[in-house]
Amino acid sequence: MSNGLFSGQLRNIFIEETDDGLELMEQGLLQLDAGTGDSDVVNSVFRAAHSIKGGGGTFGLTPMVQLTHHAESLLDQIRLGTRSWSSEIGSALLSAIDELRSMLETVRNGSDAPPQPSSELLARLESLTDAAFGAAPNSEPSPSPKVEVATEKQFHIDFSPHADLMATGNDPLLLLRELQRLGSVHVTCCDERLPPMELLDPRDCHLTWTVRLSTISTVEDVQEVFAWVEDECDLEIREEPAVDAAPPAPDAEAPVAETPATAPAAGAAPAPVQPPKDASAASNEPSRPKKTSGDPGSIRVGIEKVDALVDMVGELVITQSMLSQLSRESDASRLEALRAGVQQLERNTRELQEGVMRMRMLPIGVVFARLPRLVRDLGRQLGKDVELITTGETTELDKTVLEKISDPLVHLVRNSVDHGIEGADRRQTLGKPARGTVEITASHRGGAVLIEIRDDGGGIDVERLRAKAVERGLIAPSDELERAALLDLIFHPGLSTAEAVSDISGRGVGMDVVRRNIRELGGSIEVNSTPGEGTRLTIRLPLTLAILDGQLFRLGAQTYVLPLVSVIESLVPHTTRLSALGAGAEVYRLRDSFIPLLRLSKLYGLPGDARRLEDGLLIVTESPQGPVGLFVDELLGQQQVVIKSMETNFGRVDGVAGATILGNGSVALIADVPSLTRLHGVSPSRAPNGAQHCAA
Amino acid sequence: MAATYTCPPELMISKVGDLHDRLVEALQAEGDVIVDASAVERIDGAGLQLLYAFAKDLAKSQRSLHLNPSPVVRDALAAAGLTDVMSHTLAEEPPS
Repeated sequence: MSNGLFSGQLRNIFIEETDDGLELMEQGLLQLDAGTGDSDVVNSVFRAAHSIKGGGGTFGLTPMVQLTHHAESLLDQIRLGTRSWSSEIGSALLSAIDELRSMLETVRNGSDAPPQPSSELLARLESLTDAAFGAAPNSEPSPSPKVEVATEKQFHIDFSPHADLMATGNDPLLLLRELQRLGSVHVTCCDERLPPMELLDPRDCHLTWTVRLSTISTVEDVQEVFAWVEDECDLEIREEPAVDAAPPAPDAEAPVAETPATAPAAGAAPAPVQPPKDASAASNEPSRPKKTSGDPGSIRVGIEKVDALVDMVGELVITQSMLSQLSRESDASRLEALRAGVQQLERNTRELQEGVMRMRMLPIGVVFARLPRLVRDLGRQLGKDVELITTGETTELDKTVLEKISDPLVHLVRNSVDHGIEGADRRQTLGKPARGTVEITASHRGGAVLIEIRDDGGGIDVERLRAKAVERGLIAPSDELERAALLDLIFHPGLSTAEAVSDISGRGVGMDVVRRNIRELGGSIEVNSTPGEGTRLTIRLPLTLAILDGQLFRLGAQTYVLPLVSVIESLVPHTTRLSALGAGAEVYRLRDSFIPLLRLSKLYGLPGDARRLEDGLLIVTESPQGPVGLFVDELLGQQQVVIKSMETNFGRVDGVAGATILGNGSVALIADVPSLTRLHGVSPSRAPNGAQHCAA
Repeated sequence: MAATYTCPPELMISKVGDLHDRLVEALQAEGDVIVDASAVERIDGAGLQLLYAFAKDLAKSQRSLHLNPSPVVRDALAAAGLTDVMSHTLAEEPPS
């Protein structure tokens, strides 16, 4: 058994599980806060806190243990019904989650000593917990029958951990301390099973304990202490008659300094209590042991393994295209068989490819899960009542795309709450419901994922946007821009129409970054806004970044690939429509717009065939600056290509997004339109909507 | 002359391997043993079990252990019900 294993692999598992646990807690708390949670939710939040505490304890992360302990105590009271939910509790617990997250972050970064929890927060949690103790038995009618039995009882607990209890991340010491917390204890340790030192595996648990506990807690509380180890220990909990109460041992440092009960409970017969396994099935939370029954389950797969698989499939795709090419060239007699085989291979390859790609796919709900909290906190901070509606959480996206879209989405939702939704007073004046709505939906559209963020706020004030753009010299006062072009200005760096610059958004940074991030993913974002009714942002994203549908084209003797999604159209250009702007820049008149024309052979330094425009072809593509015409020698076929990174295999090259291997084994470079336009020096400010309209 | 073994600040399951090896060696040597646990800041069941197992085996071979516990260790011994059985090994509690 190596230390390395424990501190490495187990540590990572702990970090992942804690991450999940915190997420679960947050979601649960938000449900409770919104009034949609029930006792199952409380229980699941409590259990999540409990395992985080246990895990933290295993790794000696005292600050995490300390904080979760406080949170857990409070949750325990809510669970038991001795404390009713309040938004104050919600806020305190959510703050605790935030602190735990930042602690976990330091652990993730390799630290063994996360920062101490803030004493202010601990005090807040403590006072909420204490307040409950004082108020509960008398003033609050409790929904839980457990609270009625507030008399002190005696429990005899035989706790025999299995050897692997500690190795599975549980600590008997913590469990004993938990019992201490319930009341006064007398702990006896039994070492019958303890082998001599030479034979001792120090990570196995060989000690067993007998605990006598006098407490006002119920047997369920006692069982709950062991809820996480019930499969890893032999446990017997018996209730004993209170008269037999043994005085607490002098060495038992019970924090609750209560003397043993002097008045025996009248009806407390010495009834042996069922072991927790049965009890949990019979108790009021029957769902717990089977909580995974409806859950299809999931596995954690290391991303590097998936990537290796994706690479392999890429190779397979290449072999298949090679065969495919061969089949076209081979002699007629074997042709039919070869073709059939190739077709089969093609089918298999595609299925395998899709299957493997699916492994990398994650539901977008992972990102959506961050939003309710954001909306709630922002709403409070701004004094706005905002409801968040999310749909399409199960829409799947490539993990990499998902990670990169997360921050932009958060930013956009934040914008909607901050700038979009009006204050409740203003909404009522306008005859709108006081509660604003932000709706985010995700869905599949063809080979892409569509994400829409809609709010029913004030919409974007186009005239103010225009005034600001003029003020900053982005457009001339005389410029006639279409509404869509004006709206598009919100993506311009340095433009923001927020009346008051808040600390939330409105510093004018963001929207340009949002659009850049989305474009880097091969996606696009569009804005639509109706004054007084709200704003709708539509984001289109590719499903994956690893394989793309490519349009092949030729420049001289070289084949290049252009992402098919960015191709708008292709046409045979006419010299008469070309105008030179000087400094080598050329524009092409496409119907009623001028678009920049890029001679790719020149940009890539290749001897192109087509000297005259009519000899080549013009591919009109999307670029960050709007439509751009790429002048190429010839269009070849379209095919799926597996993207190989240039940076990993060679080095970064301007104008090239990556490379791929074609069916004939040759390498083709994938043209990167955004960086090509930068190379060419297409200025974005002249054409905010991409195309400038012809005066004619 | 008693041999002294110093416990690491974290006497946790992830770190008990080393100390176990050293204490097994200590058992094979002779004479009394001092285990200095005064710098222990964190201890769990595994750490506690190791200290206890060592004390027990040492006592079997008629040798004595002087355990110098930090407050954390003292507290853990109490929680696990080991204060009484270990009391003969414990250094005097400093006046608080």
